Amino acid sequence: SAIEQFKAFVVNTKTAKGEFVQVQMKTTNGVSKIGKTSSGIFKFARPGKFIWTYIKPYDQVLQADGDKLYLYDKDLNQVTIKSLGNAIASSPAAILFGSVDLDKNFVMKDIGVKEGIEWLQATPKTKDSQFDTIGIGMKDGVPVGMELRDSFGQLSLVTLKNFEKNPSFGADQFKFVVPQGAEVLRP
Amino acid sequence: CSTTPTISSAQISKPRVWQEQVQLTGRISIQYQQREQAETISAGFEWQQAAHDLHISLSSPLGQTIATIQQTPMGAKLEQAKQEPRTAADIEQLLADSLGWSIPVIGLKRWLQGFDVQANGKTVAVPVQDYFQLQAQGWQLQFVSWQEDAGVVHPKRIDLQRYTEELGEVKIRIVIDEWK
Repeated sequence: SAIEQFKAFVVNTKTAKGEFVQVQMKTTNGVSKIGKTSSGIFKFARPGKFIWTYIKPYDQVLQADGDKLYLYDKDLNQVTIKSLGNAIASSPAAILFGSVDLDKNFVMKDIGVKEGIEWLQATPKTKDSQFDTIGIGMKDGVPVGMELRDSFGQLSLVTLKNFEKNPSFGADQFKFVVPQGAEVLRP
Repeated sequence: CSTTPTISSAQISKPRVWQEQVQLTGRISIQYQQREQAETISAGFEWQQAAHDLHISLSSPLGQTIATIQQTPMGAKLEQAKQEPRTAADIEQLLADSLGWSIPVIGLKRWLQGFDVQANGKTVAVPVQDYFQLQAQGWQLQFVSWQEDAGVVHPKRIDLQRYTEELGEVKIRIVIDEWK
């Protein structure tokens, strides 16, 4: 089942890297059509370290070093720093890359197979999450897709490609370096 | 700083006209003080402007909607994830009630397109110059960079800044991606 595959994945995959394509579905009065599409690369290391890099349509990096969450936007030329805390406790990054203890933060249930991909649905237990549900598609023991439904009913579909399990990373692979000239916003 | 390609006059084929109906998407960062605490908002935005309506939605990098603000002739409504909707007569009042200050919505209707409103209410085009500065409605504006889209030139990045005694400094930085 998807949950069996996923729980094994959480245990046997300490690090990973790959590519992603994100499609934003826009639903207005019942009709949903494809909105913004973005793509890029990701790296992660458990627990709580990841780099989610948007390459298209613009340069944006979402990076967690285990302690802080950094958002760098090249056009805005700014870095926003937030404490990781529970910010990611109920977000896709937490599920894929975060702490192993998922049952604490999510109610998980299998919702079936589509085109050879086994899907599970995770519902955040915390009320303040931006998500209503997070769907995860598993195939051959790795996540290949995510369906993020926010509390406004908007759907974001993420496809993960060229998933590489347990690559080795340098010691400071996830250390964030402020790009030259970027303004740092530190609340 | 990076030298942005200046817009050659050959590219500007269409005259610049302020549009009452426009749809913009981009990214925004806001720094402000709330009870002496520095706050930052960094989000993607959608700005759908029509003659009598304005719809703004803010979303997180991963695409989740953080808040939507709607202005119709009947009034303005703010909806945030997992919170009761709030209403007020107009958007500026709505934001002042919840944030303690408001983004200059009326001004932005012009500035986002590279125009400004003169004292006599006339809409005028802002010169296409990187780092062009102007003062309006208590805000210090800088049109940092411009972009050309199907022959029409409009702003790429706009920085806004305002300092008031009771609110301290508010800094807004806007980058416009799509223009329909």
